[in-house]
Amino acid sequence: MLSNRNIFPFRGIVLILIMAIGTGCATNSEDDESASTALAALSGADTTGYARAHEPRSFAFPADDGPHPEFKTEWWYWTGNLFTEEGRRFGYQFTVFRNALAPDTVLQTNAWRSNQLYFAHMAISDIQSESFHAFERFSRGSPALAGAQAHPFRVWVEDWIAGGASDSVRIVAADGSSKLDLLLHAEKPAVLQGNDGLSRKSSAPGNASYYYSRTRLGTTGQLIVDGKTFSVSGTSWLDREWSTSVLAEYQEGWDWFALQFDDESELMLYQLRLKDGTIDSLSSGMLVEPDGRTRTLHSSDFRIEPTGDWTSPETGIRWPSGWLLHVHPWDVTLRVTPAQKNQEMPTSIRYWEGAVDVDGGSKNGVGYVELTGYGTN
Amino acid sequence: MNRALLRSGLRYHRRHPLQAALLVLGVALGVAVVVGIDIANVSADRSFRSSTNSLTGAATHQIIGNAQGIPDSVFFRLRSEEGVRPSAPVIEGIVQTDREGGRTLRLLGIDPFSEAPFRSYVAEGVDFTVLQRLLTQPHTILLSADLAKDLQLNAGDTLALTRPPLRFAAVVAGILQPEEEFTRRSLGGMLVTDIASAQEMLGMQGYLSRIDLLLDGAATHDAPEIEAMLPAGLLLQRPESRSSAIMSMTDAFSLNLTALSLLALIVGMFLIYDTVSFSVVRRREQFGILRAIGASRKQIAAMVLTETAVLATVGSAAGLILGILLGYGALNMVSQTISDLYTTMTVTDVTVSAGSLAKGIFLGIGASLLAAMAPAREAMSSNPAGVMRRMGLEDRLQHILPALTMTGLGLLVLSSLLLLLPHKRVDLSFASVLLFLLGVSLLIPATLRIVMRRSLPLLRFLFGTIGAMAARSISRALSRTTVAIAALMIAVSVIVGVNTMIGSFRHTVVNWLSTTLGADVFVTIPFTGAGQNEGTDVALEQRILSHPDVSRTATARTLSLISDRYGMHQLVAVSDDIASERPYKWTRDGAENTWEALRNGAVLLSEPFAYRNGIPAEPGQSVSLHTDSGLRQFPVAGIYLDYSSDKGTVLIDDAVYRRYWSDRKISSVAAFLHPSANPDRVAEELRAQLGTEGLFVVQSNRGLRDAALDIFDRTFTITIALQLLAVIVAFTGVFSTLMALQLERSREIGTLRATGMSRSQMIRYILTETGVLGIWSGLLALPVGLIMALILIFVINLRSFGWTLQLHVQPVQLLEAFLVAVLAALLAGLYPAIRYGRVKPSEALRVE
Repeated sequence: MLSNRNIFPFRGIVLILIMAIGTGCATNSEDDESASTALAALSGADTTGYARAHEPRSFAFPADDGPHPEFKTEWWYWTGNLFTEEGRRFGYQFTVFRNALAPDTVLQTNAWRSNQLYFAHMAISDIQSESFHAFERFSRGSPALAGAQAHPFRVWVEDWIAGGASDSVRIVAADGSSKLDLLLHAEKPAVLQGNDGLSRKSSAPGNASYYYSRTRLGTTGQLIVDGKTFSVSGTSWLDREWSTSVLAEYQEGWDWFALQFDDESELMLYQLRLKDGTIDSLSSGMLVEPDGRTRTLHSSDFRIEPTGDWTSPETGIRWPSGWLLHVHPWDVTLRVTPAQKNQEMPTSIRYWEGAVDVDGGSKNGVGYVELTGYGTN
Repeated sequence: MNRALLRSGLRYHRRHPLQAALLVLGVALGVAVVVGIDIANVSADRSFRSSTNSLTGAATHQIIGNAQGIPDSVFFRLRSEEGVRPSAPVIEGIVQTDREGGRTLRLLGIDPFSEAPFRSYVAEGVDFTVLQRLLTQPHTILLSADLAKDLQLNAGDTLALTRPPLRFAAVVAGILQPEEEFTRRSLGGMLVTDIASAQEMLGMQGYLSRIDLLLDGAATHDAPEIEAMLPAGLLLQRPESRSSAIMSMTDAFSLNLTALSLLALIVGMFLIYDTVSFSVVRRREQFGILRAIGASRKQIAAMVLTETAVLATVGSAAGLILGILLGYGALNMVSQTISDLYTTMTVTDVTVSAGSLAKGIFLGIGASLLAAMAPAREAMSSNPAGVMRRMGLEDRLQHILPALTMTGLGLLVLSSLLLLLPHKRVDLSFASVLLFLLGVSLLIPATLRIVMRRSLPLLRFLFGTIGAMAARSISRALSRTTVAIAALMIAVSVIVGVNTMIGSFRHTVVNWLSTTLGADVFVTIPFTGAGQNEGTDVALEQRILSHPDVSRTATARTLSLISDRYGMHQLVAVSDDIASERPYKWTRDGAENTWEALRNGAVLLSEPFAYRNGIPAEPGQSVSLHTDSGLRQFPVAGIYLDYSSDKGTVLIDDAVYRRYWSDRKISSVAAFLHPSANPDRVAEELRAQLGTEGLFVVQSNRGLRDAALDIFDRTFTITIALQLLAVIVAFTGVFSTLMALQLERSREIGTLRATGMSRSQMIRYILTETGVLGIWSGLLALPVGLIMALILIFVINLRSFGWTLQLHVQPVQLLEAFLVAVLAALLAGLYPAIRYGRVKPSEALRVE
């Protein structure tokens, strides 16, 4: 588990994360005042000088695997479901976030001088023992410490590294008695989310991200959990997203689903929850057929119905836990169940990111769910 | 305690305000000195701890380098390849501001993302916009609210920072508001900046001062694993070893101060004793009457003690206030000395601890009551019938004289034992000085009696009958005169002892400077604080050599180091000996071959280094030094006398140094001039040529010598100030004692006047008596003071600092001290003499 030491130095950084992952996440009362100031700063003047996602662009690989420093926020988000030969199940997450502290680029005359902040989260869900191991890292962008590059592909925060090529990446990250050492191989081409990769998140122009996914990455490798090594294989999912501003103030957070079915199809869905309790009509999704054909889903194409909840003993936050997804184009209802309830990230910002099972009669599989913006009230 | 009695006692003091005032003053001065010095010591210690604690934070270990620091690639490797956590890079240096008369501050460069486990104050209350500025805008700083107030800065303001030759306009990114008192205090002298800015502002691009580690159970690695990762030349050590090395240096210094302040208190006790007993003696009649009307012995004693306690409380309270003021002044001197000699102190807050105050009150009231014990007993013995008779105190003294004398001798023996025992403890040495003084004081009554008897003929010869009368009078009142003489003797002997010690020290240093500073002009990089190892390019030497009057040069590289083995010490690499005739304590191969031995890889040790590390003056010794290529043994070719630093110095040949250390910089260049050249003019020209930006300090031989002696004198300012205080306390004591001695004799004087003694005879009688007391005190003070000087020079200085000094007695000083004693005594006799001269015999005898 995350060590007791407060490794998170500045509460202000939380605010960047709020903007990156979801509004209002993990703030407590003492942060409220500075939260609003920083929100104002981040959503107003602070975004000047950065590029914005206004219209679709053409994606090029491997160049777009690398960083886009002209945008404020960016992430490389791997999640996956892994099994040992005996069938013992694990979930994992490995994410590197990039956040620009200032829009101008810095001449690297000093190895420490940088405007880029990198941070990374790593988590392993040990389903059999119902334990959850999560860690985080922070560093400034500097070749010697943290960064991202396209040729050859590499993103790293100190000794946590993902690198290789577009379609073949090795992830190595360890903390304490936990370690990921995985080889990921793309079995399908990259999927451009939203409108040819432009994913609108709120009504204001420019409040959008560029977003692509690699929905099926065959994965083999080793996990170390509590000092024990397991050889595993399974499937992973990569989400790549960069933006300057995403959510609007009336939005509260999102529920995101990345599901991989036994029939080699995949489904991505997210719904943006508004503060008034309704669902934003910009919520959307994507179907990926076994042969790679895709179909964009609009908010009218699906409905997400929570079936239960779980209250974290750690934070007291009540998270939805279990859903029915009504996917109209496929004409199925998928029952999504967390592989274990506690997959709450104990990081500086609290969110829930966990392995799930999918049962849809003919459509069965596994996946990952991300919940943000809960527990603010 | 009967209230009526207490009121009667206090009424007495109201009628005799001078005595009450003297007692209050005596207590106040004694308490003030002790409290003042204690405050200075405690504050210096706290300030020092604050300075270091704010820097080390929670680190359990530190990786340190040699001269330039640690390449930051070492940190990157530990972090990104070896995954060593928690770990934090740190850069620190001293910078000068343009505020508050060029106040120096510590600049601490940190990586905010590594900091939280180490120095939480950076994380406290810093919000995102501040962090953003700190990281993205070069040369932005954080400082505490207190410091911001001192420097009159607000967020967004600019502060000019200098670190020669660099100069930056730093911008205040934010104000730190630590809630915890200790942290607040620690940040009092510090600016925090991002590591990138710190490297740029301190001219340390690519280097770190150290890497902090927290190697507890949750850490990724343990100490041996880390050590194995380090390249040669880098060391893993505990932060305490650094601060304790510095503390052990300053300990000796603060102990010296404490000892002097105790000396002042002892002298103060004499004063209290005198004043209290005087007031009792004068009131024998009153006590007799009180006893006659029914007051019990116990009640009388309780009255005396209560009175004393009341006055002592007033005195102690005044002493506390005076002491706190004194503490402010003393702290400045103490921290100046610590900064001069050991390490730059950026925090100099006065800490008035409850402990210091309690100590003062306890000593003030306790000492007063102790001093009042004997007089109280005397008061108890006042019986209604016998009040007019000469009191039993003299008889009792006669009775216990042999015991006093034996105790005195015993104390002298004990004192010598403490000195002669082979140990390095400075506190025991000081104890022996105090025992010595006490022992001598106890011997005074016995010796005084003999001396008076022997000197009777002489006094009769000199002053006739009046001289003989004076001598007898002194012997008769031994119980009082002893205390007066002891107080005066101790005060004067402290003057003699401390002055002789400082004089000898100075004399030794002057001699040493003249033989050691052989070159004519010295060029050094500016001193930005001890412990800073900045250097300059070797090109400096060529620039100096190009001056037409310079015949040859020698360079020195001076490093201030701390090692587990030798503590805080200096490593000096010299290209040639600049001493015209280096004074050696011991050489292995003879003085003329020693420099050759150095070229072959041997080292020289300064005397304090050899003393502190117990390296004997005999062949076959070696020292092990952490070079950039690992730990190496260097044979010792000799021990030389060195008074420049009590830290201890290892002198090594420049070529040998460059072979084992990768450092290429130099710290100073010594230039030898052609015989016809004028050193002051050459220094002036070099200054103009080199020093437009304050890059270098150019000094002629004389200039450097003066600067060295300046620091020397500054170091002893506080010693001299304390000694003056002790003397003031003593004089007050002597004055009151002698005055009391005379005033209580009004009846005797009346009789004498009635039987025909003239007014001028009377004045002569009294002045002869006090003059004899003064002469005797002065005579006694000279040997006692000289013995004290010997102990200070040959025992305490050696044990504190490892220096051998040459005794240098200045007869004029001795004569002065002697005259001071006589004059003080005569002055004290003047008022009673004039007063008795005016007394009509009939008045003086009226009571009879």
